Amino acid sequence: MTLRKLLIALVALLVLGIGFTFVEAQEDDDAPEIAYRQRLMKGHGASMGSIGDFLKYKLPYGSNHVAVHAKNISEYATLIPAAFEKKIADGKTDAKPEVWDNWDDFVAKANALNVAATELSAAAAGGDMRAMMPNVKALGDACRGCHNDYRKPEEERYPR
Amino acid sequence: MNPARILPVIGVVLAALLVASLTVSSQEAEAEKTAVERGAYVVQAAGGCTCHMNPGLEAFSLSGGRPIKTPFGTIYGTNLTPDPDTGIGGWSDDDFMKAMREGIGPDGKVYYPVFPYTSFTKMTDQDVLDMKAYLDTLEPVNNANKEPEFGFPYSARSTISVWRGLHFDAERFEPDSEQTDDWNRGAYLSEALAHCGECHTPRTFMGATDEDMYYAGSVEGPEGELAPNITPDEATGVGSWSIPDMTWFLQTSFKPDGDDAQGLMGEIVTHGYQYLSDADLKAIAVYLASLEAIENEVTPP
Ligand code: HEC
Ligand code: HEC
Repeated sequence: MTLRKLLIALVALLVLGIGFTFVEAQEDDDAPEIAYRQRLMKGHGASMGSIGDFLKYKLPYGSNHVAVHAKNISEYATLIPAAFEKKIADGKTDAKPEVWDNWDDFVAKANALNVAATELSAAAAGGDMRAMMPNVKALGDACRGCHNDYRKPEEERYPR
Repeated sequence: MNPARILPVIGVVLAALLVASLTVSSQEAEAEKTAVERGAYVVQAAGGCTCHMNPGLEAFSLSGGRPIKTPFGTIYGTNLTPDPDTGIGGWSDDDFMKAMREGIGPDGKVYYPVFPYTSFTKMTDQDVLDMKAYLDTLEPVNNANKEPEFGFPYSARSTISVWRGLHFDAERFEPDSEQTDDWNRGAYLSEALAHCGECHTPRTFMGATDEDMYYAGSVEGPEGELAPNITPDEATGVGSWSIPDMTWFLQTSFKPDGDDAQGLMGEIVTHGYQYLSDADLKAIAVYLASLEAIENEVTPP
């Protein structure tokens, strides 16, 4: 190998190396934001799971429990746009890049969640479990409506 | 006889006849209505037949055209509306029965088992006929069926005949007298109608469901979707789910941790399972909980 070739190879390796470190550093930089988003989403899940527990076991605590969990979800929903505003499509995230291609639609879906959750909260105040079901299902449609478009399906999620 | 005396008698007889005929026709209407209504429920138990959706229409319509990706190629859902030219409008009850039970069309064509007649063959006569009664009431839409895009050897329908010889038994569901009514209803719903195993049981390289891995999850379900292990295995399946957890999931698509199911599962809950009675959903949960727990971690390839 000539010295020239060796030099080119070295430079190429260096550039590649820098490239990799850069990507990795970038991913590390984004880690806190990704973690925050996912915890915010887990919060949605925890409230939804609590509503589920209440209704499936007909727990005797009074329907204000459902109303409060639904209210929580409606308030969490107002945080979604700011939490997802920065484009982070690489790293340990399941957000699809489409979030930032269709940003207005993404925000509209966060708003739709707010509306559906507020409606469940109001329906729960009435106390009739059967009457709440359509609102619970509408809330499900609001979560799924965003996830189907903007969250990767099971088979594409990053390994945990 | 005095005509003045006869008239009221005639009147009474006429009135009685009228009442009788009205009752008969309203009874007929009732029977008709219930067959259609029952059929609507059967379709919901089958998950809403969403593979037959028409992606070209804004409103939900079972007039077909939806592409379904499989490891063997792409196939298109067919037109289930009663359009005489492109749908099932010209089909007799026997034609429909043969399609659902044997996977053979009125023109003698054998269907690819992507159409889960391997499950539907277990349906009762009544459920098959009610289903047809309901489909016959749908808005007819003219939308021609598309040929599947399969590579050789799958493109040759004779391949299916060989496959059928190996993997298909046209047999009705047999209740197990040792089990409870709930269990039997749940087994019938899951196996014959809801066809959970068509997605949740992995397939052999021949495309047949692997009976040793019954409901143990499939990495490559329809549309390439990963269908999780739903046997009661604690670590890798849904062993930690209670009966109400499963019932709730089939009603709302929310898992115990409050996360939702997306994709095909979310779709069939939305268009189908959510409408089933509490008793029927519970029956499915009871049946699932009784299955052999299979340890199988389903992770993406
Ligand atoms: C406006 C869009 C949107 C709405 C509405 C929405 N989500 Fe999400 N959700 C996402 C996105 C995007 C992700 C992927 C985030 C990531 O991995 O970075 C996600 C992820 C999740 C996760 C997984 C979090 C993790 O730990 O990885 C859960 C659980 C979840 N969402 C629950 C819910 C529930 C419950 C609702 C309804 C009450 C809901 N979401 C509504 C967009 C949304
Ligand atoms: C058309 C294919 C299909 C059919 C039919 C189907 N499923 Fe699913 N199922 C899926 C897919 C795909 C998922 C993964 C969805 C997700 O998690 O977002 C899933 C998820 C689930 C889950 C969640 C498991 C977990 O650990 O997260 C359960 C439980 C389940 N299905 C039960 C059933 C039952 C019971 C039936 C029949 C009554 C059924 N499924 C029929 C495709 C199907």
